[in-house]
Amino acid sequence: MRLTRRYRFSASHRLDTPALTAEENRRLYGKCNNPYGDVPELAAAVPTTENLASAIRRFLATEWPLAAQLHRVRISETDRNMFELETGK
Amino acid sequence: MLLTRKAEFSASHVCADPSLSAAENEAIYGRNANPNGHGHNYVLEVTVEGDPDATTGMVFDLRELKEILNQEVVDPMDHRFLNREVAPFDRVIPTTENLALEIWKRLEPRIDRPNVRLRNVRLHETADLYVDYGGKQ
Repeated sequence: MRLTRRYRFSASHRLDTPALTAEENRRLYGKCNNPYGDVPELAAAVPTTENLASAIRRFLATEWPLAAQLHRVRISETDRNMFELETGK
Repeated sequence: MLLTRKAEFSASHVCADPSLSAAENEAIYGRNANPNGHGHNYVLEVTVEGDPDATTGMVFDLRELKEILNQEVVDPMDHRFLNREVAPFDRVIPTTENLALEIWKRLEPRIDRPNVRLRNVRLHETADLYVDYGGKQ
C-alpha cells in the first residue's frame, strides 16, 4: 500500500550556472535567468526543479524515521509541469 | 527522473466505423456515433524520462517541450473536427485510445535522444476518463 501526502511551499529561484557565460545562460534558461539582485557567488547546483527534487529525496533519505519505505518524491513547479523521483533510481 | 508537462486542446470527433451501418455503430459507440460530432476539452500529460544534465540541471528544456507539444498536438488539433481535418482520423476512428497512439507517434521522434526518452502519454477525454500509452511493450 502507498500513502501520499502533499505539502505546499513557495520559494524564489534563479537558473544560472557558472559553467556558462552570461549570454549562454540567458539563451538556455530564458526568463528563468532574469537577475533578481544579489546572486550568491557559488551555489552547489542550479536550482532547477529537477535538482530540487533530487535534494528533497536526499534530505528525506538521510532523515527518514519511518518503518515504511520512501517510494517517490513528486514536485510540481506549476500546475503544468511536475517532476518525479522513485527511490533507488 | 520523470518530468511531466500538461497541455490542453479542444476538438470534436465522431466515433463510427464507416463500414458498419448506423445501427451497428450506435450499438458499439452509442451517442459517440452521432454523425454531427461532439466535442471534448482534452487534457494531455506527457512524461519524459531522463537524468538531469550535469551542467544545466535539466532533464529536458521545458520551453522546448512546450513548443514540441504545441507543434505536434495543440496547433494541428485544437479547435478542429478530428475526423475531417486531422490525418489519420479521416480513416482511423478517433477514440481516445487511437488519439493517444497518434500523439505518441508524433512526439516520440521529437523527444527521444541520448539519455532521454518519451515514457508515457496520458490523454484525458473527460475528467472521469483517461488513457495511458507507454509505447509497445
